[in-house]
Amino acid sequence: MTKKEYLDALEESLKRLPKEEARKSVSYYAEMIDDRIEDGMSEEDAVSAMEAPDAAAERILYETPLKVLAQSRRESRAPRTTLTTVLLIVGSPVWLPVLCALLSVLVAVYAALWAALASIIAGFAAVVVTGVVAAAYGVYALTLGTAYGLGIIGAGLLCAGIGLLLVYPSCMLAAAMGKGTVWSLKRIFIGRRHAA
Amino acid sequence: MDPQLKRGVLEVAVLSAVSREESYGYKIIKDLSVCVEISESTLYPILKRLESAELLTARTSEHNGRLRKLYSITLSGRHRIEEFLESWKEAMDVYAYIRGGWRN
Repeated sequence: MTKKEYLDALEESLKRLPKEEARKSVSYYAEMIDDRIEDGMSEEDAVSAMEAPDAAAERILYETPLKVLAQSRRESRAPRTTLTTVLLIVGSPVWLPVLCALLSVLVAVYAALWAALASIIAGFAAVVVTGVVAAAYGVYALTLGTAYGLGIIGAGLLCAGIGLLLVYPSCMLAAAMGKGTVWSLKRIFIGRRHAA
Repeated sequence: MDPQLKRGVLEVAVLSAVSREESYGYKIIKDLSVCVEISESTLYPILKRLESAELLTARTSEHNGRLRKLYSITLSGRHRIEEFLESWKEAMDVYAYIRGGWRN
């Protein structure tokens, strides 16, 4: 094994540690190898004189204080300390009900949107029904007078036609709302990492 | 040597090696080899513990174009060696007693 191979293997085994701890450990072993080489050993002998990288890494990890291990490699996000976790648990009687309340509001608003959509569709459906009923009356009204009856049939059919025309886009809107909800929920679970 | 015993004395042995002159990892291992074999993997945690207990201090210096970590003993470190020698003097008396009674 070359010096580079040894140190790379060691660094890989130590990736759980905070960057600074891992760096110190690797430079210690690099120094050891260099000192042995300076003493006259070949690179290969110097490396084999040492403990295997994973055994060395295990020893280093066991000797690392628990507090440091718990921190691990979280430098990309805000480090979560024990204190933060304790605060979260202790504070849950405060933030948990608030969170539930907020979620309830969101659910209520969402339900209201659907209810509004449903009543719009119902309204247009009623228009259609009105038109059909009027046309039916118009047929009867024909007995009272042809022009009168035809006029009512015409008005009724017109009304029904307009109603039908408006129901169709309302249903499309409902379908779009449904798809949008599914997509939003998926995005929340997958998270920003994978979003395009 | 009994592993527990070895662990106890190794720390002070490392302190002693460093108390004679400012030293570095590999040199400590070589110096100690006159009385005890210690691997770099054993030495590393010992050095870390001693440094965090402030019995040692470390500084980085340049040597042949690379960086080397040099350790030197602190006052607390010297006190630690004194403590060790004191408590072991007693142990030596007990050792002598046990040795004296051992006919084999």
